[in-house]
Amino acid sequence: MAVRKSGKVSRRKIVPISPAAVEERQQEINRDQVYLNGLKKGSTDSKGITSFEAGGIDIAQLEQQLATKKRALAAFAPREGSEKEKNTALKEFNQAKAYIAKHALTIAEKGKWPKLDPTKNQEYRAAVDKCYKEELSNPMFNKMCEQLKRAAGVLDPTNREIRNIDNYRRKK
Amino acid sequence: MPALTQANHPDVVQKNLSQIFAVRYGQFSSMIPALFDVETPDQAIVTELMLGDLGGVQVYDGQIYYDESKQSYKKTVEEIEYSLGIKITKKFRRNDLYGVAKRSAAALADRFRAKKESIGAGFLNNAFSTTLTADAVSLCNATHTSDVGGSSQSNAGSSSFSPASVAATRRLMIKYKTNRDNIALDFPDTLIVATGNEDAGLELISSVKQVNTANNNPNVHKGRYELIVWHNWLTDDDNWFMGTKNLMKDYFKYYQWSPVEFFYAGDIDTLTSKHAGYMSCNVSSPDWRPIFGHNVL
Repeated sequence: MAVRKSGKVSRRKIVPISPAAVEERQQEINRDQVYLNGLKKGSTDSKGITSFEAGGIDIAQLEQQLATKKRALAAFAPREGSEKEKNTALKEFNQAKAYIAKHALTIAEKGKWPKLDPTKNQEYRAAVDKCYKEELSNPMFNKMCEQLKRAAGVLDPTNREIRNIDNYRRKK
Repeated sequence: MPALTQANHPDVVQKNLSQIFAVRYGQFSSMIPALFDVETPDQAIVTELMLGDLGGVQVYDGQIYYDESKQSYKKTVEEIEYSLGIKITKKFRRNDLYGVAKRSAAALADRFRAKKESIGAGFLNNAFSTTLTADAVSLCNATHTSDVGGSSQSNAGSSSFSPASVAATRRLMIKYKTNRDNIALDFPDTLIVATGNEDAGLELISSVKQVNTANNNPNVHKGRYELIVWHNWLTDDDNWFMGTKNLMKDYFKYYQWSPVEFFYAGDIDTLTSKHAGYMSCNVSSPDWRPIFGHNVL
């Protein structure tokens, strides 16, 4: 959410988090849930080691924290779309992919290293200039990367590779 | 009839579990102090306030021009409490041939260390989503606004780690402006990566000569950055961050209301000893300028 100078609030579309981040957050939620359940039930395992008694612990606060984490995950996790949504997403995905391929550093440029001899340093300098201009200072590049990630989430939410920008860089 | 009871001798029952907890807890070296300023607040809710920058220094022509700093965005940080414990029966302790109780105390210390790291790293893991700065957008975001007259600025990219993207990011961070569009005075000097980029990071900042070529040119990136590799807790291997150390120390706060404490008590009714850890903390930053993040995946 950003506040414009006019005072109006503009909401940016959420960029879904990566499948690895979804998994990590889900695991954290599961751990918290088990802990919370243990606090409520005072469950005991066969070795006589139990979770700590609930006395003095603010369970309502823990439940609130857990609910917040669940809401955040629901908001930021990619969700597979319907056929209609996938058709739209595919168009957006291809548009973003083409833009990224055109403007991003190529694989060869990514591999350039600096050289102290200025006469031999042109390729590296050109790569830095291009990265600065096209990838970092160009708002459209960021927008297209976000569009690609959103569309990838609708098309295949668990596939980390289709949202990897590196896969759409040209070789040379 | 008087008798020696477990409840009257909690230290005996407890044996040396607190020592085991403390020793184990101390064996871990945390990344939190490398990135955060650790503070102990004196109230449960901390208000972080951004101040507007001052205007430029004027030529003195017989009178002094006065400027005033305006209040900018603010945010609040609330204390979050964490606890975890184990309960051990007397019979279990007596029959514990394999030191399970001691290992459980050590495991408890590990869990607290892990939780602290997880809280600290979560600040960066969620930098593109739920970690918010005082301007109410994510820590790394393309549209950080100013409410004191400055332009919107971006500190989020999607470039994967490479010599060129590191140099370009540095160039962009050097051009950050204050919230009144003055030139900022701090330069980036830190790279923060996950395990996946550790080798690439080390190669970039440590190699004396250019790697992977026969040219043998000196590597101009050498020594320019401090590399922070946050193993395990930075969850996305491809994402990476560039930071400005002194700004991170100014703004990235690890609020520690209560450091990790170890409690124990004996329960006479059930002949059970209870051992628990407790801490309360939170992390926050009002400003985004200490860092630039690349959300690669």
